Amino acid sequence: MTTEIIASEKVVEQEVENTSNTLRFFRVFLARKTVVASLAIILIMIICAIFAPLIAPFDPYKQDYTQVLADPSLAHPLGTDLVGRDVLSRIIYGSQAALLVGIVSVAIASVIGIILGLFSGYVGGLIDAIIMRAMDALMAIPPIILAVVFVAAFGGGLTNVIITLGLSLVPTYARLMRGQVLAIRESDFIVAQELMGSTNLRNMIKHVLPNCISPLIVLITLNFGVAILAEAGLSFLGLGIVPPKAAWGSMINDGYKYLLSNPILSFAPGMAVVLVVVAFNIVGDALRDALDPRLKGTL
Amino acid sequence: MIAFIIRRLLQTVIVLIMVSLIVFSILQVLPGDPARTLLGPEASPEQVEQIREELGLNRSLPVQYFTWVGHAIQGDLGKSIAFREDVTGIIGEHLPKTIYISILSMVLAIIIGVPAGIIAAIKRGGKIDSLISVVANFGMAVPAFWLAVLCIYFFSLKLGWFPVQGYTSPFEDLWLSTQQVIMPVICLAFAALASFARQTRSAMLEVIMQDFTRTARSKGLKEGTIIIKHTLKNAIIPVITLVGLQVRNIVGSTIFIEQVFNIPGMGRLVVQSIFNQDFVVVQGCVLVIAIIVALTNLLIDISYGYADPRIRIK
Repeated sequence: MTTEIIASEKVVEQEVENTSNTLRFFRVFLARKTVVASLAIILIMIICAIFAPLIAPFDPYKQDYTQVLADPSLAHPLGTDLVGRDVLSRIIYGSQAALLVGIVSVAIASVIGIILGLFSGYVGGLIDAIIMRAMDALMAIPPIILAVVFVAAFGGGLTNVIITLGLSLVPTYARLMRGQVLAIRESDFIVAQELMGSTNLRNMIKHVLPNCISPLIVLITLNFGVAILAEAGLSFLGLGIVPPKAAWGSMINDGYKYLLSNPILSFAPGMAVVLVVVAFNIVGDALRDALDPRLKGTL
Repeated sequence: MIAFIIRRLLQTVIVLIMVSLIVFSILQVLPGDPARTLLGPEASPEQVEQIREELGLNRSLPVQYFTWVGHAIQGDLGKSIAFREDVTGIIGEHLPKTIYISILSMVLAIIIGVPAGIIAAIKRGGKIDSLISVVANFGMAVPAFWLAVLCIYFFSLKLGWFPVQGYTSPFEDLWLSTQQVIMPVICLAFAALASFARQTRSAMLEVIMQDFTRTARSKGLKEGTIIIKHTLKNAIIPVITLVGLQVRNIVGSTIFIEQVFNIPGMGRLVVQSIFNQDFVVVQGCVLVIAIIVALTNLLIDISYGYADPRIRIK
């Protein structure tokens, strides 16, 4: 896949040497069909989440005891679950939880992580050492176990899942930002700025942040997938989003009990998770290649 | 080299102190009064108070923390409320199972993932490369527990190749144990395998593009020699770094895999103890898991500090 990128980059470079960077970005970014398809999947997911009541054929909470564990049919394309709820409608509604968890937890993680990383790299010394060791400590505990323990401590439910996942993703951002601050501090243009009398703090915010935008965008996109996977995991264990609210992870767990007779009950929501996460990963990779070829393989 | 090892060792100790602080403070807010849980709803307030006294729950938090750490260092992690046993003993029973399947998964992920990445890099742009890329992309996106559900459906229920769930020690019945362990290990390894393939591929490509590879080629060296002696040696360092990260992910995923395949290991113990409100066990488990992850990372750092002298200076 990377070779295709390299190849397309070469073509693009020859053709549009004089055109703007923005154009180059879009041509490299959209060069592959998989990326366009992934963007389409993400778009469909967003539309499903926003317009769920309009798109879903049935009420996802309405139990219909005449239609318990029905096989897929025209009325119920993915069948119905134990209490006769339409599986397709529940998957469509499940996108709301997944999208919300993805956006808000990544927002929390990136804001806290960016501030910690900037501060840590900028101040240096003992404070830097303490912050970074705390990040190391958070990273020594597998994120999913950290999340499980957080949720156990503060309770399940949408809000707590979001906060928990947000906090467990902080170290990646803090490390990335700190690394960038340290690297950029050494660069000639910052040294030049300092010689010209610009204060340190202004330097950091004005020059370091814009220079970190590319890796940050990539990390944020990739982390959407991570957060959605983690949310599904927590809900699967029964520690995440509380039933009857539709969440893909808990749907897999519910369907698992009827694996032999109705495998589609677990297969379908899992497929939704996989498609969305693959889409975010592919878009993240493509963004990395398009924004900055030097980043290849570093994130 | 010795200075480097000592520095990393000190860092690890600091990290572990931080871990113990985090674990301790998280569990202070866990719901439920352990004394109440221990005695049941009928106990009188006096009895509860007496147990709180015995467990040291009415002492100040710093005192509780230092008592806990002090005991933990001596290998005493407290008493489980639900099992009425020593936590150290319970963990000692569950830990080997998790370590066994985790090591098997790690080995599987490396011996398949790394060669797959090398092949993809050598044959870049070809059919094999795109196949490996597609599998790797999906591998990183498939939830381990859903993969487990798929495996159980197809390989156990439909084809009947493997038992649905359960765990037997390899020392007891090696054949049965291997049959039971195959699916959990594959499900655990899959995401790590995908990461290894991707990382190896991009590291190889990076090295292949460098000047010394071109020099080697223009000297007339055989392609195989170039790949093995020049490219692989340089590309392997970022791959070793990934081992540390994947130890964390594999151990983390055991929480799902052990649940689905009904393996009585650490992951299942954590979830079970959370539902039992057995916070002493949760505390102990998280601490032990963090120590294992931190120590593996220490070993990995030292080994590649050994392999790549540039790392020691940092």
